[in-house]
Amino acid sequence: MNSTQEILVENLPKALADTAYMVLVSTLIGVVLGTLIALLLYLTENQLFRPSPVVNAIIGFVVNAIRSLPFLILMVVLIPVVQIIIGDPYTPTGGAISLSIAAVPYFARIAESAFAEIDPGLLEAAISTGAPTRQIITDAIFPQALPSFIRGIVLTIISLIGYSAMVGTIGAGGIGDMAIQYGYNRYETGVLVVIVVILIIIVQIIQWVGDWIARKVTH
Amino acid sequence: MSVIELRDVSVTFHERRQTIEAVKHVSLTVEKGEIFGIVGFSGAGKSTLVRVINLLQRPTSGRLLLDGADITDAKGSQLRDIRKRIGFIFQGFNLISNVTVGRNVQFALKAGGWEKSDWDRRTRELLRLVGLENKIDTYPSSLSGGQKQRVAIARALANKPEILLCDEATSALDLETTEEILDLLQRINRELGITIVFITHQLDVAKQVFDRVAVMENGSVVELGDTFDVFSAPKHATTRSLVERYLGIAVPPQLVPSLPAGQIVELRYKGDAALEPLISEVAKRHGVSINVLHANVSYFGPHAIGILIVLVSGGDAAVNAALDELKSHVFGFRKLDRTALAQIHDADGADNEDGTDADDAGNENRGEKETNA
Repeated sequence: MNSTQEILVENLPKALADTAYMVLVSTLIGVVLGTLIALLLYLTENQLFRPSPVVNAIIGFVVNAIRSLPFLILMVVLIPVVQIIIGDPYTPTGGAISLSIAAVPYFARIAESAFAEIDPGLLEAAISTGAPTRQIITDAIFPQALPSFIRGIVLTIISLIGYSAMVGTIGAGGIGDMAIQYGYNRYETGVLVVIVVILIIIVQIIQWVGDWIARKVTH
Repeated sequence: MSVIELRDVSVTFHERRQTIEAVKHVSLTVEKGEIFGIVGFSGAGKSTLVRVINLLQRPTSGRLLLDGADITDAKGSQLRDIRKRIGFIFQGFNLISNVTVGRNVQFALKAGGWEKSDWDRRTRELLRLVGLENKIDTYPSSLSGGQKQRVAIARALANKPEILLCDEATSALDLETTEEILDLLQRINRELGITIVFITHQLDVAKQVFDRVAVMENGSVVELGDTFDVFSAPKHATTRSLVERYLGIAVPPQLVPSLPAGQIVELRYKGDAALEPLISEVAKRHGVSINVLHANVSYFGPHAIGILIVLVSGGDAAVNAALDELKSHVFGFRKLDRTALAQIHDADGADNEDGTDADDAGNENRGEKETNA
């Protein structure tokens, strides 16, 4: 029991910080780039804006290609790529890069479906005021898609927490790394239990906060 | 002076290897300051046509002129400037539900290039015009349908347009609210001098507010003229069907076989002239019996039209003489075919999908606006 406590005190704060770092960085990149890609998909698909089946099909194909790889395989495939970018792939930053590459197409599809839910009539009304596309995006589409967006961000964060455990297993650090190293390899069941409890609590909190914000912005 | 001119406009859609001609060679002009209506059953192409006017829908062929200038190919900022001159309101209101009433109006002000410092003043001015100044900070979800449409009107008027397009703008509203919105639109038309193009399948709306009306069927305009003229003496089958549904002047088909022998005729007359004395006189003089099967008077603007369906029975020669005399006293005279009447229900169900809607609109309004003659 003593050693369990020592392991936790010694490693847990750093593991949590690494996981938080990887998840936050990849969520941020995933949401920003994913939203841009979703906008491209949406604008090139919608007859009211700039329909362009070719551009839409190309972007859609790339998004689907990345999405079709299970994260475990994507991660392995990306090891040499990450190595070229930052040198050492077995660091939290290396993990964050892999996670980001998975997060971008993931969030792109979520954001795209949030946009697609918007009533086309609302777009017609917005276009009819003579507003430029930029204003329609920022002042009509975003406010209208915001609740779905927030739920999508929550979904993404929770998925990325799961994926971050996988990058942990190949040595990128974080809470998954810790669970494997101590809980699995060293039979420290106590460590595993604590990590499981922490993960459950974190995910519950994120879900609860996300739902609360989404409700706040829905009118 | 015509403010809108459509020249031979067609719109064709290609969907799943199918070609749909939504609008076929429509030419019409809308005069400055009038309320121009387009009526027809759903699927007639009305919505597509009205979307051509602000180029939400590009015509496949034909030209669109605004104040005499050809704007068919307008793009970019020129197109946006044109749209600022044309307000648009919809059946579904189409407000941004996650922002307040005030922000909905300000969306249009921002599009119109108003200074930010003027937004609040102008928003209040517009909301005052539609009677909702106290709702500036409310979200649309807490408003009634009529209030939402008022907000949509405020938004459409934000940039002081010359034209207001209304796409079934009252079709989602109840009777009372429809009246309020129509009153408001008429006030806007009169006081601000805004030309209104209004499409609807509700004849009750059409007859109340339209100066002129175009009837559309299957992508084409089949009849066009002053509202009273078009509806009092419909020439095309679609117009007749619209009017008949609205007035409910069909003889119940199941009743037809049980009627005594004789000729069934439909008489149309200006509502202010009474027909009953004429009918009894004609009946007496020619020794025939004339039964009134259906009678209705309806007001189109200030004018009234009456429609009677009568059964004239007696000796052949006497009936013919009686019919000739009736014919000379009315402006609409049509012999109805018995077998067709007995089947009228089936035929109606088949010729359009929207029959129920049009029927409902007619039925709801019948008690309100008409008096049985």
